[in-house]
Amino acid sequence: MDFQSVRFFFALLALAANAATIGIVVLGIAGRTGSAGADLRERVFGALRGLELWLAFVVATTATLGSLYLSEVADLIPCTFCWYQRIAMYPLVVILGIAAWRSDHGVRIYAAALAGIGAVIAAYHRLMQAFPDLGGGTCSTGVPCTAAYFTLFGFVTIPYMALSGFLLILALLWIDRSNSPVPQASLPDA
Amino acid sequence: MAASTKNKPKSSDTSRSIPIIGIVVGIIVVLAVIAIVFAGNTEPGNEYGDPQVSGQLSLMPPDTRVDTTANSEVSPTVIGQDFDGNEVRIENDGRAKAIVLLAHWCGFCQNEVPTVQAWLDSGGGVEGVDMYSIATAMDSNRDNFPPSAWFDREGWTVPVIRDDSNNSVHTAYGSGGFPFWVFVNSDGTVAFRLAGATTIDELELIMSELT
Repeated sequence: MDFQSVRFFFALLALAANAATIGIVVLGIAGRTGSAGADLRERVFGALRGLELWLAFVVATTATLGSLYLSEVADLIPCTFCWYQRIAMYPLVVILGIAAWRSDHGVRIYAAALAGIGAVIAAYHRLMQAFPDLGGGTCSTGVPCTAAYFTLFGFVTIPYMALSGFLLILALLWIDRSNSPVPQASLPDA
Repeated sequence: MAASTKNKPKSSDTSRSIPIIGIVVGIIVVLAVIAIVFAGNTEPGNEYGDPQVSGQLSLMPPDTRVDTTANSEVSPTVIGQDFDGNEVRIENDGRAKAIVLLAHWCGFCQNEVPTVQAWLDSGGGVEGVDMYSIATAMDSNRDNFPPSAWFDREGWTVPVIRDDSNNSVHTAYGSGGFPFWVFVNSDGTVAFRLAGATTIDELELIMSELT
């Protein structure tokens, strides 16, 4: 699979993540509109019960491996904002992996915080690519964050892919919250 | 006893998880096949030239927009080819010059080119100052490639020299950030250098003050 195919594949994954995220949000809203919507939401969300953290782990792992491919194999050097997004995404692999293995739903708040921060950074990075003036007036000869390495389908760039991953992780954590009882912090024995 | 945060999956969850995992894997496989089939087999291309460069300006300080460190240095002589193979020469010929180095993937360059071209199309430019451009930092893996198509699309009329794979021309002028302007007096010495987007008013003022 050459680089052109790989980046096309990553772009398709991002679009699939977008579709899944939108579907989850729509179902969540539909669940509040009446019994039919609530029933549909329960059927879909219920089908994912027990898998939410695993799926979020898969998303984080895919995003991490994808970013490593782009930098270590395709030689696309990460800019500063790419590194900020990596700081948010890479730990999610470990956190979500362990939490999924242990079925520890208390991880939600920690994972959501990291994913939320990452999503904000990715969104701003994507905006800088669309509106370079946000990042200053010059493309540095190093690795400017305002320049996209590639753009597919007219709007899918690397930060967009990262944003798609972070949003899907947040959506899956939301399903986990809907499906799981509210976790209580462990208290030491008296 | 503290409430447990664990919610171990029941055996019925296992039977439900298998088709879901299968669906996810299936989607990934389908997307991979689509990518392989439809991504195309675009070979990495290049539009490098083979410019001859003599002379070297001092390095442009990083994070500097307007630089005067190279003032009075003799501007390099560059003899190269445009995208049609025609020879283009930038040399000390007794005329002032405004040289802009452009990277096709740079958003600021993508904004600058049509702005400058519109100015030129409406009768802009400064008498006695010749304009040249250098297509440099070319990368087929990056946006807006090939630069020749970009210039054609924008109707770019400023003579272009194609840089080589080592970006020798860019290095000779001091490796400034893009778009990188080098303004040269008529005696062949550098007036000053400017890294980054500029306005037409600024450009016109600078060019009109070249001696």
